[in-house]
Amino acid sequence: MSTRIVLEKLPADPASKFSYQSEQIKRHRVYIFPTTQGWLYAMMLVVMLLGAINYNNSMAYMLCFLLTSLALVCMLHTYRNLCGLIISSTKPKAIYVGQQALFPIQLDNRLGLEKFSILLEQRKTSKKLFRKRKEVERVSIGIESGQQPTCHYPVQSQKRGLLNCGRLKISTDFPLGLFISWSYFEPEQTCIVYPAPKGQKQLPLYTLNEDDADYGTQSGTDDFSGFRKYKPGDPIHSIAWKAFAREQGLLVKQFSGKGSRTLILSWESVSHINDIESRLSQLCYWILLAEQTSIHYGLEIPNISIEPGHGLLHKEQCLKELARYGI
Amino acid sequence: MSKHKLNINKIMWLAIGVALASFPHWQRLPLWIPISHISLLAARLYIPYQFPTLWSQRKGTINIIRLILMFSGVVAVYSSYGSLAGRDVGVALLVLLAGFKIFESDSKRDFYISSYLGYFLVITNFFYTQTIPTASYMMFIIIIMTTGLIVFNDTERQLTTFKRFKLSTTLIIQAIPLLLVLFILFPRINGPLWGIPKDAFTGITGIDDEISPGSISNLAQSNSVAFRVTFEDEIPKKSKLYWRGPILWQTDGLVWTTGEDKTLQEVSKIEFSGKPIRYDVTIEPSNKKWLFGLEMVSKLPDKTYFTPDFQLKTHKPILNRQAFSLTSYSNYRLNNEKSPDLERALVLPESYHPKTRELASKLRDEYKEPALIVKAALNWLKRENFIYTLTPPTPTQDAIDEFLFDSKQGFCEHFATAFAVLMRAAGIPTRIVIGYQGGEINPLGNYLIVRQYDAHAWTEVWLENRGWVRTDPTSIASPIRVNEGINNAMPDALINIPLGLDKNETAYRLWKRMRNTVDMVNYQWSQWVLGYGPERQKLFMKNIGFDSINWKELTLYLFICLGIIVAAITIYIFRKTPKTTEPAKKYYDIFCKKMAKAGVPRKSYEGPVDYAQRISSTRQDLKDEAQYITNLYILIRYCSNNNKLLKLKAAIKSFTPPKIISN
Repeated sequence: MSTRIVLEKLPADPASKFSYQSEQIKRHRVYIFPTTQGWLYAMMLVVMLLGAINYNNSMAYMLCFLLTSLALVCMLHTYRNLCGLIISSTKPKAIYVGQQALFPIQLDNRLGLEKFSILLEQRKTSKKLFRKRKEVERVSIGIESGQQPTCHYPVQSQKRGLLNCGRLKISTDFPLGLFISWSYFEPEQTCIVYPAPKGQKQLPLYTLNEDDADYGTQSGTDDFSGFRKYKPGDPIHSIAWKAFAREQGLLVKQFSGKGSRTLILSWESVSHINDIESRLSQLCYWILLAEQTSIHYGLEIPNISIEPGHGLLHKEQCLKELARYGI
Repeated sequence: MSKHKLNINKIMWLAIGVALASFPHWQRLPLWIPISHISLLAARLYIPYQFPTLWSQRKGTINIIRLILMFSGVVAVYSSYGSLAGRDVGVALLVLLAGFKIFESDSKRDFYISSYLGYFLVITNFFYTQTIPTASYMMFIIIIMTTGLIVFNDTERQLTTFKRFKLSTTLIIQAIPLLLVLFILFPRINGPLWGIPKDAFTGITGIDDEISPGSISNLAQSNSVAFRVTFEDEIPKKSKLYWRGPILWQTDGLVWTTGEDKTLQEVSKIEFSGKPIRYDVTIEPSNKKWLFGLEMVSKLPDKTYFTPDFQLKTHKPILNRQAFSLTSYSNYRLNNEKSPDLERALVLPESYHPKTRELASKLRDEYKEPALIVKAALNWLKRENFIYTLTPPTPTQDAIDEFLFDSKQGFCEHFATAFAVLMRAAGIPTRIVIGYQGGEINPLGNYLIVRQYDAHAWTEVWLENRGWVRTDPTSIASPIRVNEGINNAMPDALINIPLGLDKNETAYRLWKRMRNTVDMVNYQWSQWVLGYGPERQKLFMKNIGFDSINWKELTLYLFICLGIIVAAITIYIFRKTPKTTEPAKKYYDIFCKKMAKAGVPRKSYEGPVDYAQRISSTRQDLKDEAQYITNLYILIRYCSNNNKLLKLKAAIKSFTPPKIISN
């Protein structure tokens, strides 16, 4: 969690049960303004007032004033409906180009009463006033008092690299829709967008052990070569459970030597493809394939070279490099 | 926007609100309008949900049908009212269009416009009636329609129907203080700003400035209030309560009218004697330009004037309840000098009322002196045993002659007109005064209610040296009418006493008391709420210490008060902090508070166990209790051992740590 934004005030009492002296908390301004319906409502009130004056009708005055007061009270409630929310964001899961990134936004309502129909949407980027409103994703959520739900704000990825969520507008027009109260929040985390896995479905020929032509008959996993310490991402079946039982800690059986299948996915292996993005897509596909078939693989693209390896972390590292390539 | 798809729930609330708001209008509208209104609402609630494909695919066709129907509806309204302007037509169109608007509602915008039309429907009801029941009913509708808006905006369905209704009520209740301030302080100006439709005040019963046989007996069927009077001192005797209205000079043998004002040259001269009577008259809207004052008014209130024959008139028709402060004297002498107008008070149509003329000449020959003639005529009326009745036989030819010599049955207008004709024929200048006589005292509020059935007609004869003298022939024929009021003169015909009540004395008294209470509430309502205009506002501000306040100051105070109230509501709203839902936590918080008072506050990073340890080490005396409570708390909170809750509660209740012992 990096940014936390609290809308409106913090509890005045420093010895309160919640301590919010954290540096990370930023206060944010809450704005409020009538909606289109609100303006229409105001027009209705003016017409009613004119009618009341013209006919000298006390009850018409009364109704007009009641509706005016109702709007004022509604304004306070709309404002209240946003105040006291603490917003924070966490890192979204990496995605492939074309997929939707889901930015997790945590809405913490431990300070306030129940919040109704809170709307999250990307801030309009267009500066032009009368341009047709771009279709933006909207996420609507209600939060009970004391709850801290996380909602996922979807952003469509267009290209590889780092995807920014941009400024989010968090707003509400509850209860009557006459006023909208809003604030802005900008998640600092970015989403890594890997290239889309595309291309040849066949892994390229092995390039590391050139002398070892008959890789197909060998089963590298059988040649036990020793132990090394477990690191996250190692396949469970390679853990030395017997060693663990002897209280030697988590060790991983290593298999090496001629038999282990090792593949270097290099720039040359995709040299037949002209387009860089397509090359990256092909490499991405191969990495996923290699990961599935438990082949040790490495990556060699210009300026970057990753030693052969295997496992979730390794895969993520390789994909990350592909995502960052040239950016 | 899929978010605001109008599901049946939203439309239902809207439709119910609008239907309820238009309901009081149904009786006033041609039958086909409410029927179409309700059919449209029902169609909107039924078709899209029963035949969703038809609704979405045949949108174009439905729209065309809708437009055709709407156009023909407007044409039909035009043809049944003969115009498209005016109050009644406006309401008819509004009811019709609200139906069509809801029928076509498909988007957020439609929904809101329909809701606003509903609010307008509510306001139109007040142009017909402003009673307390109507106001309460409309308040209820406002809550319903506001609930509709909440339903529309509660997109996540977080609230149950009841809670939505409750929230709506809460909003309205919180709006009431603001409403009161706005109502009291908003600078009022006298309307109208533009023309009021002619039909806005139809259906008001009241005294007209002409009478014909039967016109006042018609009024006697109505028990609606004409005006109410609060006297500064005690209320005068009933027989003295003559409320002077229009004065009629001219007759065509059947109908009496005021005649034209310009021919009236009488120089008004009046002398008063005796004690002044001060009182306030709160008059109901009459759409007429005159007031009713006790005979005889001596001081003019603002915005009124006297006609030469001493009728109290206003410059503008009375379109809303208004209060006037008046002063009267019951002893007066009116125009005792000869004037050309006396000639007009002698004119009778030629060759009418032969029998009456005959009687008149007989009286004149016999008594000579006008005062004696009048007395003799009244005596004759008394002798002849006239019957005071609401339902006299319908005259066939000469109404006056038939009344005086054949049927001898009539209501006050028969007595007054016949007597006036008789006097004129005898050469005594006579005119007819119409107004009200008597009134009912409401002991609860100690004020007088004058109702339409108190309408009365009497005459004034001109006598040398005495001027115009009130002569009420009805009081001769039926003294009880004047002395005890019309209810006693003819109890069965007039008041709508619920069946059987008049037989039982206690029940009748109870019913009367109830009626008085209701009227008093209504009186206060009309005085202070409905009659609250620029004058009342000024009076109110004066009463609370703001003399001669202008609209700028009013606006200033208005905004100050609004600001204070908004601030108060804000504090109220934001003061509410979420309640800890878990009872164990609640009790533990009390424990922490007690410990903090005792000098060992819980640090924000401390868990219950750490805290208990710290308490044990710093306060040996509290060690056992703190440990016990903490253990209970942990058992309940983290091991769901809820049956220990009472123990925890008791332990914390009895836990009273002494303040830290300073060493």
